[in-house]
Amino acid sequence: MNRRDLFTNLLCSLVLTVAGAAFLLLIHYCLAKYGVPSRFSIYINLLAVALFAFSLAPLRQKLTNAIERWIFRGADTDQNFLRLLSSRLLQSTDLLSVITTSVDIICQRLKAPYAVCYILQKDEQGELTVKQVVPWHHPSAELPSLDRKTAIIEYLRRTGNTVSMLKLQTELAEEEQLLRDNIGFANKEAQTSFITDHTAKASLLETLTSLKSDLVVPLMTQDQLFGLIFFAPHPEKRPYTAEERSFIDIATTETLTSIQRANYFEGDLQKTEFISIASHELRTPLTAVRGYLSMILDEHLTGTELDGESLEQLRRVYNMTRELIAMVNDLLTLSRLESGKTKIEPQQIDLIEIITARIKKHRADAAQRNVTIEFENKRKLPYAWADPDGTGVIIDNFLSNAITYNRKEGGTVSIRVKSHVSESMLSIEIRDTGIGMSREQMAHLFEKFYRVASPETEGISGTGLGLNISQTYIRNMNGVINISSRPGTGTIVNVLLPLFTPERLKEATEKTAQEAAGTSQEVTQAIPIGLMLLSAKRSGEAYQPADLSLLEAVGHQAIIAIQRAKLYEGDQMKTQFVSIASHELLTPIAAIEGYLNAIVEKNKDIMAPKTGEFLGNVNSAIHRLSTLVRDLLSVSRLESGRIDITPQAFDIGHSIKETAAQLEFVAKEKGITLKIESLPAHLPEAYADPERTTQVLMNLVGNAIKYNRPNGSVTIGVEPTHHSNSLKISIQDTGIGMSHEQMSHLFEKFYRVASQETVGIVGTGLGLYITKSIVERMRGQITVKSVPNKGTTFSFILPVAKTVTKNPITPA
Amino acid sequence: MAYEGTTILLAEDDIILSELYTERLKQEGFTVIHANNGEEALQFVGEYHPSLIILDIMMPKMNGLDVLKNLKANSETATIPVIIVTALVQEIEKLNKIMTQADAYIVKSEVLPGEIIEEVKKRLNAAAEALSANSQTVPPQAPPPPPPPPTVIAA
Repeated sequence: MNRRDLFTNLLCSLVLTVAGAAFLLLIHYCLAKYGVPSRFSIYINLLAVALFAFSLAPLRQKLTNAIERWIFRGADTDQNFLRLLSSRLLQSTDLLSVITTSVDIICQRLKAPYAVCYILQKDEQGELTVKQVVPWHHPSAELPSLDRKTAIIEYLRRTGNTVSMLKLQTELAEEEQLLRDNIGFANKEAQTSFITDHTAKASLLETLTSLKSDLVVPLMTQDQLFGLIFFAPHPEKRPYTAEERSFIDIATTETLTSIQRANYFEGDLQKTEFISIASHELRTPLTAVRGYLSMILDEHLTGTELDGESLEQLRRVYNMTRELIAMVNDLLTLSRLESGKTKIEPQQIDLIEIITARIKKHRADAAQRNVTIEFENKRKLPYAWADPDGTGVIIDNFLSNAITYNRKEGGTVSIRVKSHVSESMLSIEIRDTGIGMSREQMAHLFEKFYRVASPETEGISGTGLGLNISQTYIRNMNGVINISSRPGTGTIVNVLLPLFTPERLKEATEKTAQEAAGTSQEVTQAIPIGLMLLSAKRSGEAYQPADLSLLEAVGHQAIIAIQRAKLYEGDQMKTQFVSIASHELLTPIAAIEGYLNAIVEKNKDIMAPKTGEFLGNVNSAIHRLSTLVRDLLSVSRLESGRIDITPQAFDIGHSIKETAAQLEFVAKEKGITLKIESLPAHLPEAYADPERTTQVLMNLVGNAIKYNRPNGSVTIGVEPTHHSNSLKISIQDTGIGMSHEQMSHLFEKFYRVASQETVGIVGTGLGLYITKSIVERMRGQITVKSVPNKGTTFSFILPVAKTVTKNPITPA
Repeated sequence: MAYEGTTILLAEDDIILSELYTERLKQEGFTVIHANNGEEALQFVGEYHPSLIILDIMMPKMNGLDVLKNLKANSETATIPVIIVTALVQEIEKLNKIMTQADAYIVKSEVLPGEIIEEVKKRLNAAAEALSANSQTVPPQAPPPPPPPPTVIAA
């Protein structure tokens, strides 16, 4: 029981005693006045005590609340601090503000004059290092870095416990005694781990002293350590009490949820960016392929000379390229829509006008397929309240579906626009006499990349994203979509869009004005995400202010946790999206590669030289595309942890020889000598995934050849490191080298060294990112050294079999 | 051919696309100067005095937007028609502020090489007409008329 509770209880007892005595006196006074015989007074006393006792609980509660309110002013109870913490954490979406908020409030509660937080991050070698130091009123101007104290970080990560100065001192003294006596160790290993811990603790004590701190709290979830907070000693020069420690525990748990939310938030932004860049990178080679093919097939600029069958195949490749561009564009549209990068700006629009324009666009296509488009607008319709671009896309999509999925022998597409005044919506109905869909097919209709597969749909091209894009647009414009269909009869699509009303316009104008004035509070605007309903208290009492404030704090925590969960889901979805998208692209690209090889092979003697040259260019663009898509797939697999890495003991010398043999031809073609340094005798076996190691070698040696100079050389070497517990493989080239600036970005996604010398070298900018990720997943590390114009050396370290087998890597 | 000796500057950092466009322009008889980045593009404009510039937006060293600003700020280069080729549809708002009547905007993935040639010819002819009209009637110090919105192809 703390001092405050004691005080409250004493005060309560005092007030209640006085009140009880007064009540008893009052009863006796009343009895005396009305002349009740005194022999009954014993029963009356009992009755009074019983009555008073019954009213005690609510009275006591009221009193406690009053004392809290009047004497302590409700200022510094743990509950109030926690409520303050959760409401302020709710506003903090980035890591730094989460940490600052949390440290601030904990220090206020503890009355700690200062603190410092070390934010940790896994470095390139997968080891936890300090990412950022966040001081809070710390007296030292320069805070020591923990870089050389990895033992401390490792120790705190393993135990996950809050450690105080006093506890450390006591433990260390006891342990020193033990070490002196040198007893109590089951085996050598136990002794080693004991000594490791002991050293870590000693080092921690030293750090606490140098930071003038009394307490270190690890911020930790499951097995992930996010940071360490060092708190100043209590101003009263006493150790922190158990209550204060338990407050820290609760507060840090709350902080962790917010940290995770902040981390996912950051990751989400990065992935959206990745999808955008990926789509952009895919479009360039596709644009080139389509360009060359149009010059051969549409403009006849090359004096083609291909046999009839090949010409037809080339035409098919041309169409496939156009579809791929449509697919990539759809992917980009969808990712921009989903990430909110595409702004939906509803305005007063005339649906009839938009629909008429879109029908005009599809007229030729419809005529070709023998489909009649019926669209009648007799009455003047009210305006809709929607985004014009978005509405155009929706009409386009459904119209083109209704035409292409119509009956082979021809049919009709009829469009009707009606107003649903009661619902203040406008309805667009697009009805076709097409092949229709089964229940099963309807169920998957809005899935990404889903395409209805049946004999009737064979040969119809599409990305399987159109419906998804339309649905997202409709949802973002506060519309509704309904699709009904019957196999063999047709499909009816019904889209409801909000009706234009002066109120909607007024609302939007006000919002725009606010945005222009910079007073818009969109970021912090409250959007309810749920309701919490509670039954009445079992005791029948009313909820007290204290209960309500607790509920509020719980509510804030729930919001943070829900947001974290949602961001986590979105994160998973995006990774999956990249992987599905890459798969969808890979199939047509492989087909195009196949066709092209066949065409060139078959016609190499007859085709016009210019045609041959152009097809060569097409081939290299397609090759770049397929490398890119494969790399994207690797990245998404690596990031989602779906890449198989099965470590085993193997001969690294063999892998090196194999890689060199495979790349020898490429090197020779470029006039580059490929050398393997004489391998040391008794080379220990490496412990890693042999296939992935070959992939890493192929990538690094391939780069060394690619970025070399004519008559240059590439030297591959391997040696055990000085501890002999790992192997160092180096690939040295005599190439163009890199500046420090270039090296610092080298392992970033899509980074490519841009200079006069690298013009014309084709690459995806993903190879080194993938290489690094794989090496790290095999518990290795990769480094690079380079001198501009002299050359570059990449080295990577892999564990040696004998030291690692005791502690095998679990395949992810 | 009608365009023999007409010099066009192509500023495009992507090797695949610059080869494609160079190829197509040469087919029409144009002389093509190729710049790999924004800085080079400005340097070559000074050296070769091209009749028209095809300008990519996303380029290393100096992006197309800054190149365009530089071109328009200099009275000697301000009248050279510029065809902006880009992968981004989003930049249009920023570009609109700098582009003049003589310029055009093309989204790479939506336009075929043949269509780019058409646009190049259209812009060259318009520039030639403007030049002859200017030299005949308008005194050189006359302020230029306010530019109407530039053409947007497949935006």
